[in-house]
Amino acid sequence: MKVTINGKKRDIDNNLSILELLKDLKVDPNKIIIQLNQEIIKSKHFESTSIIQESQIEILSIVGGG
Amino acid sequence: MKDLFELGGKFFNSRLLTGTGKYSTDEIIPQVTSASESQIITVALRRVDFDSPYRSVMDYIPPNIQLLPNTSGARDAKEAIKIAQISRASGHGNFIKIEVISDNKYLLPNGYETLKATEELSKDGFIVLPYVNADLYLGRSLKDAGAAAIMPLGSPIGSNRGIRCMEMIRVLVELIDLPIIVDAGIGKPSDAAVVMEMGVDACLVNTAIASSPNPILMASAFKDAVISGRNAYLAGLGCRSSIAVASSPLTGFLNG
Repeated sequence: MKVTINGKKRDIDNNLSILELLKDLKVDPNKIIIQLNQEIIKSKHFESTSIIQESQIEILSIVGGG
Repeated sequence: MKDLFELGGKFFNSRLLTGTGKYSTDEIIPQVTSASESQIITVALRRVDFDSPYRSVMDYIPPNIQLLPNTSGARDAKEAIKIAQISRASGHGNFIKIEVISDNKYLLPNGYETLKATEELSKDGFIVLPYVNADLYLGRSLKDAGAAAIMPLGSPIGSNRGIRCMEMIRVLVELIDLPIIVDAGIGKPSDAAVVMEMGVDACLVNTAIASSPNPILMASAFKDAVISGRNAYLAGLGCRSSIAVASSPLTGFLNG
């Protein structure tokens, strides 16, 4: 199914959970912030939250800044 | 009595805020933080780049530090508000430095959009620290909008050019009843000492420390400069004269 991740369109498997998506992307789920369709998803819900077609996903992290 | 720095209802021993950007390696951040004795540290929020390995800077920020996320990357109030909300919702506290910039050459802050973001975020319970030009009327409007402090720039971000708008910052110190934190452009410890002597409440330093060949020693130098400048302000500067005034008595000379 088609989703948008960090502004780029991608094809991912159907019914992936957020945790599964992060594994596929090789992203450490403990060090990022997920926004799914404008809503922050807490890390304890990564496994139980499924991604649906056309979802807008933002995968963010805290970085150095002034 | 201890001279504590109050910000957003919290009290801090240190008046030196430090940033975490531009270090050659994040591993040095704990040592820099320790040397600076800074208790308020800025960070930014960015999209993860899947093509390059990343590590969270949070791994290098010591515990018991007040995190000050910024809204860098925001081009208008709406984007700044969104970044602030994501930051808070993800557990990084309610302090937020509002940075709204759409000019890429000088990275000067947009006061109008910053004011809009400050109004909304203050109402929403954030401790809002707006990064702005040193402008009296904007400062007053930001205070009315609920800002916790005003953060005027000394000179453009990352330029290390020092305090180029000293007189305007002096006006803010005199007329705005909020903490004034000089941010951006502070290039050397003496820049920090000068504004502290003048009565600003704190300084935020990033590039001057991060770009030094010895960031740890430079962090320590900034710590001393901020303390020195603050002590000079508290003591009160001595009087000035346009002509020489002898320090030794002008009587009782030894003749012959």
